[in-house]
Amino acid sequence: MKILVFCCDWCSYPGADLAGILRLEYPPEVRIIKVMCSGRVDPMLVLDALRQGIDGVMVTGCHPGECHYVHGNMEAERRIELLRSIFERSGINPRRVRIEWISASEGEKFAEVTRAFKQEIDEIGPINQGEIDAAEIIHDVFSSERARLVLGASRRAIELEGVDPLWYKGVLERTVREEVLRERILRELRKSGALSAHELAERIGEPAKEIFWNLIAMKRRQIILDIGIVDDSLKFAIQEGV
Amino acid sequence: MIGVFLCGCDGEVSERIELKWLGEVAERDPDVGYLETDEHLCSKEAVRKIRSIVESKNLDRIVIAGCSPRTHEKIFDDLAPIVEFANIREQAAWVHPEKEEATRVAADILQSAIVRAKLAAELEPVRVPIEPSCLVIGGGVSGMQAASDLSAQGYRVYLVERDERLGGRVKRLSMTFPTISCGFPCRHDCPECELTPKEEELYASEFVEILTSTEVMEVEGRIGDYHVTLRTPEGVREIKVGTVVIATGTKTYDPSRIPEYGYEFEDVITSIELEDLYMKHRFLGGGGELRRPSDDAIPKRVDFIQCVGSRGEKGGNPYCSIVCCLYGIGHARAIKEMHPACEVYLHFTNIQAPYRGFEEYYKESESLGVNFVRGEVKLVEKGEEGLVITYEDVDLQKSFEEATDLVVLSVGQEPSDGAKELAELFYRELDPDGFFTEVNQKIVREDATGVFVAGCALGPRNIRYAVADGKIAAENALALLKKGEFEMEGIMPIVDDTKCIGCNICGNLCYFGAIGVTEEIAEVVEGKCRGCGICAAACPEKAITLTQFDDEEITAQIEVFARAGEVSG
Repeated sequence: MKILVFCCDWCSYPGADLAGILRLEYPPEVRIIKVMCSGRVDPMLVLDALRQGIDGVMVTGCHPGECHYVHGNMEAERRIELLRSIFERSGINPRRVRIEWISASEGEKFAEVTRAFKQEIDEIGPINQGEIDAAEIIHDVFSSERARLVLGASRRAIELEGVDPLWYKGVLERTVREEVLRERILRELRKSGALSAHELAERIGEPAKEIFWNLIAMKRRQIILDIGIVDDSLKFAIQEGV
Repeated sequence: MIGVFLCGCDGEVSERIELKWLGEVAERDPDVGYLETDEHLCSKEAVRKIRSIVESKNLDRIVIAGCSPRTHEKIFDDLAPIVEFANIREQAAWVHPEKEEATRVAADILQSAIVRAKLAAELEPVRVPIEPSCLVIGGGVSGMQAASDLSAQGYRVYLVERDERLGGRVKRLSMTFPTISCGFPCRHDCPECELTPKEEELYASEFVEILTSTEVMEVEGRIGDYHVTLRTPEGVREIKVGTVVIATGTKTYDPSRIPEYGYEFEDVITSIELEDLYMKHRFLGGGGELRRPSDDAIPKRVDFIQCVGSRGEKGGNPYCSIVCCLYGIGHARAIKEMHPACEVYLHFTNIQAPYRGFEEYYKESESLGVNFVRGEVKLVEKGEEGLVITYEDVDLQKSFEEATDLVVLSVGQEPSDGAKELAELFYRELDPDGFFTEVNQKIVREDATGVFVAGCALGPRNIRYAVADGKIAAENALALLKKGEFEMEGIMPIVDDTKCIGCNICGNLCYFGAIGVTEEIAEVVEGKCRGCGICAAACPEKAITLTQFDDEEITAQIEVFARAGEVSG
């Protein structure tokens, strides 16, 4: 089993050091990567770890209100929350990612949360191939422009322009979920050449209606094209060069 | 070529980790060209040895495996162009008691440090010059002290004060407690006074320019080079300074927010207005008298109410305002001395008198005839005969409703008006109470802004500590000014202008204004960036790379950890 912990330079990294200084034991499965701020942790990095078979990823940062960069930790929290809600619908156990606040003086807390996380991963078991494949897809979604734009603009929308945070969260989740679905459609088309909405629905396990509307949107963006009616149904294929 | 240096830390590491095996793991990497193990890498001899090895073997990158970089980073970080640390003591030796396990963990940590060393780009340190001048905002005792210390070292100081005169709130005080050094009532004009000579000294200094009735409008720039636009009575003016001291102090709590204290009545006054009363009667030639506002009569009874707007009493601020206990007691005592026949009551819940001599001063006041009443004041109202105060006495477990002549509200301190705007101008944080947060509260590190906060702007303080703060801020600013330049940490975002779409998401996320779209694409302001990397993590086009902690380095580390199991089983 492998657990990856992102630690920020100001709070949780010294917190982890303190766990060592106090000789507190924590699971040997834990590996630490230091970043300057928890806000540095791009969702892609979390997904990169999962798709490579790491069983759990924990992002740790300063307590709310104590971030050395003012709101980096809140950005991190927003991203992890989003990932968890996407995972829930995509076949990845959302408990594989979590966020924790650990101050420089909380060596004990560092040991505690890593132990608890290990226990949690023990309960849900090692990451399986289905989860790894899903992580791969979501990784690609988070490297594409649309999901990143909507996620990146969260702070501007909510804090500077006064958009209702719950409403925005809904938009964010819907957008990413849609992108996940489109990514899956693309993968199916890449695998099988031309397919109809119904055939895609069967393979992906989502309603044909929803898939159809996404196919239309993808066609408009010239990612795919319809190749006309074959065997009584409208078939779609990937645009050349995509 | 990479050199790897393993430290046994006098057994702390070598007894818990198989360093020999760790060395073999390192040497398996084709880029590692030199390996050395020592029990005491941080010793002077070992450091000298590393330096000579780096030179003779022509190593451009080294990895130090041992304690946390937080312990000895400074000892090693100039030994080679690129130095990476493998924290195998705090993260392996000390937390995993099984030697085999600890060794396996340490091997992964070492490999990830080697990978980082491979990918790290050689950084040119960013050095920014420091303009040899300082802007002090706020002309209270704290700011005056800072200005005085800075000018004494020959640096140009602009002392900006919103009010017409220097001196801040201290200027309005008739006396200070427990040391009443300059007579009573005071106009701060006798030779022993701290305030007036300091003011004169500042006005006389050739290095200090005092700008009263002046406010800060806009701030541009970075550490060492701030362009500040001021609104002066003569018009708008721009100055250029290298450092800034913010000493904007506090304002007093507005007691009309607590209607039951009856502040609307003429003879219910704040402690600051009490000071004005003393002054007024001194100027009229009376001297040493207290006459109440409504009819200029000498009051037969005075009631002080403590913690007005402090310590969460009646919906006030949650914190203690520090100074009110002592000035309440001091004034109660002074009135008793002036008018022995006058009955003086002081209503309190807790007396906070922690500093040297304060407790004694408080005890002494009890014997001088000040009535200390523990308990809440329920209501101050106007009866037919005059003011009526309803209060409880917790010790007697009784409530009282009595006539009084004058009620003094010991109001607490609050962040001054404009603190929020000023904080935004300088990218500083405020705590939940609205005071400036102390940057180095948690970990002492070099300041990267050249902006220092002093005095009550950081939270309520008494005069002595506000002055001490002014000295500390001046000291910090002087350290920068004397160096003449500042070396930035070297983590910087780099924008790929072929990828940037100008969405300004980075600009909205950066609290420090270090990156953002001004015209078409995002630009980085050198000297403002603190290196957090939030912009890179959020860029929709992935157009931002970082000079350190870039995606490439982090994904390489992830790969090391993900693959590690496959190698060692």
